[in-house]
Amino acid sequence: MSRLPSGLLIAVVMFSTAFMGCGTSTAVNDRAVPALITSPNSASVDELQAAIASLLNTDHVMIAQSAFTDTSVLSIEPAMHKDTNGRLLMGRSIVMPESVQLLIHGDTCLLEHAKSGQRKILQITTCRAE
Amino acid sequence: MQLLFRKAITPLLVAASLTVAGCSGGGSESASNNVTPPVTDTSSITWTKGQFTPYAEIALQCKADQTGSELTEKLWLRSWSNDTYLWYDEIFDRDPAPYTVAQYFDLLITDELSETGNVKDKFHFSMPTDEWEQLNQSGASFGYGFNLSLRNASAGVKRQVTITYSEPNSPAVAAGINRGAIIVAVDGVNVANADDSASIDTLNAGLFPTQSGKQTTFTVRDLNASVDRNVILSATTVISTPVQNTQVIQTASGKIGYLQFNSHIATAERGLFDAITTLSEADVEDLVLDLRYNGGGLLALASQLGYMIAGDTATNNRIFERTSFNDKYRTIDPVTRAILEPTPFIPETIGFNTGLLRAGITLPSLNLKRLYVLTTADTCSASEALMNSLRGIDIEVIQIGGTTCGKPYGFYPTPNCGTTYFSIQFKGVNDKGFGDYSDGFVPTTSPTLDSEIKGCALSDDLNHALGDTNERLLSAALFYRDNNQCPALTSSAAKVSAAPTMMDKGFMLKDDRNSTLLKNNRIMSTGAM
Repeated sequence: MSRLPSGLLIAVVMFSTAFMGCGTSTAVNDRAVPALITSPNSASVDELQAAIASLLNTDHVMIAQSAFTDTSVLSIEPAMHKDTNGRLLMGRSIVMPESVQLLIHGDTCLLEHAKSGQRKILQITTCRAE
Repeated sequence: MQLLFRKAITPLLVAASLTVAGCSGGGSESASNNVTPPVTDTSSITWTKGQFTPYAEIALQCKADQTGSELTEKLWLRSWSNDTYLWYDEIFDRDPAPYTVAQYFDLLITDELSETGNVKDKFHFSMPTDEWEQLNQSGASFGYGFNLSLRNASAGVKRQVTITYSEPNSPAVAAGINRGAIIVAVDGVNVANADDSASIDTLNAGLFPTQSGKQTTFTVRDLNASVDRNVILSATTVISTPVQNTQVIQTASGKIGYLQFNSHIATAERGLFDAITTLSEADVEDLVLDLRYNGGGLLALASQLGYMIAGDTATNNRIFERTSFNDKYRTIDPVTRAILEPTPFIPETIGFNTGLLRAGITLPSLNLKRLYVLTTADTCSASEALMNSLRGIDIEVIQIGGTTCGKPYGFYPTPNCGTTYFSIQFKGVNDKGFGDYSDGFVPTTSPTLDSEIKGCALSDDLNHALGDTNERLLSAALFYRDNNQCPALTSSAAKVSAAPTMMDKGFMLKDDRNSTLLKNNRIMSTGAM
């Protein structure tokens, strides 16, 4: 039973196309492979948060120290803002979460935004192939 | 086939349209004003009753940077509301002159009541745009990993803080703090007896930390314990596990699946996939879906779960939800301008996190004809949409617990001049066209309204673990399944209680971290979370 794959593929293509041209593109090497963090610490978390914020063109991103330790892909969603009753403001969201992936090429760790393909080189964070 | 997948990707296309409009690249789900408005002489703009300048023409004309004035900001709000607010024709058109921008926004709302006499619009907010645009790793929040039930003090009622559940791999679990534990004191301040502002501040600062590494001493009375103990917890970023506690309950009348689903976040796709696979392979005959703490999130996940519960035959060519805007926009979305198409039950993985689950895999299904749902007032939005959508395709939903929050509505958060506004713009209706549950879904033994659902009205049971067959709601679901009736109430605590009528709001416990500057003049906290 398969009712969706073509549609989803089209959507993914549309997302990818839509984001081309947003912001600057970093030169990339296609031989980079998915990676996991080897020594997560507060400095690497700070660097990753800043890199994700830059890729997603926002000011504030929060991730856990365990991010990228189990999987190279991290989904990023709007913070779960709540009303004064403790209930979500946006309880019915129709927006796809963003996705970033940790990559390694040689000894260099990179962070890639899935939709745009833009990458950020990481200076502090250490990683290994997934 | 073509029609089906066109319908299915509608939410994704909406997302693409929104993001492209702003070219922000970010995860913000805000509608955008990032169009260059025509150059307008703002000094010539005036309020004239019944006449509305198109809001795009007066967007981003702000007092702060002198591109506009308070008046242009208020007139933008007025025109935007007149165009997109679901009940735009119930807004009284006031001269904005006497009001601040924030005050005027609060007035751009219907004053009508719901059919049952309650406030019709309970969801009207604004907040600073930079705060709204904060992004998090899926499921990330700051704290200790416990979730709380807050009972604030009121006439004849002592303040009490009780753990509803704790996240796996969190500081709370490491310290053995689990459901049912009562927090007796925070940094030496007694929770029940605190009666001055400084003490309340200490309680709030300890319960809802804002600094990483903040250490707080909690005095805890564990469930069934006779003595208190002190625990020091250090605040950190905790990642929630949205799907927990999947189990097969073997009863004399057959195998029943149980599943605790706490949040419609990206990582839940894999959790739900695995849970339903487990229950399907176990060949369960019924499912008890625990949504009591699920306030919603990604609507597509609710659609997928609906498919996984009802199966292919029941959902094929049926509508999960149809989105309805105001009568100016019967066929197109007023924000994205996309043609309105219904959302189907999604039968495949979407790949919200491809590291966990790739897209395009057929979802497992239980092919059930009925569903038991456990609810409280915290069951909201996408969770209610799931219940409503299943009822729309004649899956019998049996509700055990409390009345749900009543939020069939949605909005495109829209920024202007540094503030993001939330004003109800659409309503979701099911395959039968029903979506009028603004007072929540109400469990009752004898339903008469469409928003009333057959089941048992019971309060949450914090004296038992979730998934424990002795826990009040789960126990009642199992009893109902065998007897087609609710169990007899054995204590007053089991009854769903009314919200307290009097409360000293100066001495309330509340988590303001994600709503520090949230404006919400319509909702008065009941103290329950």
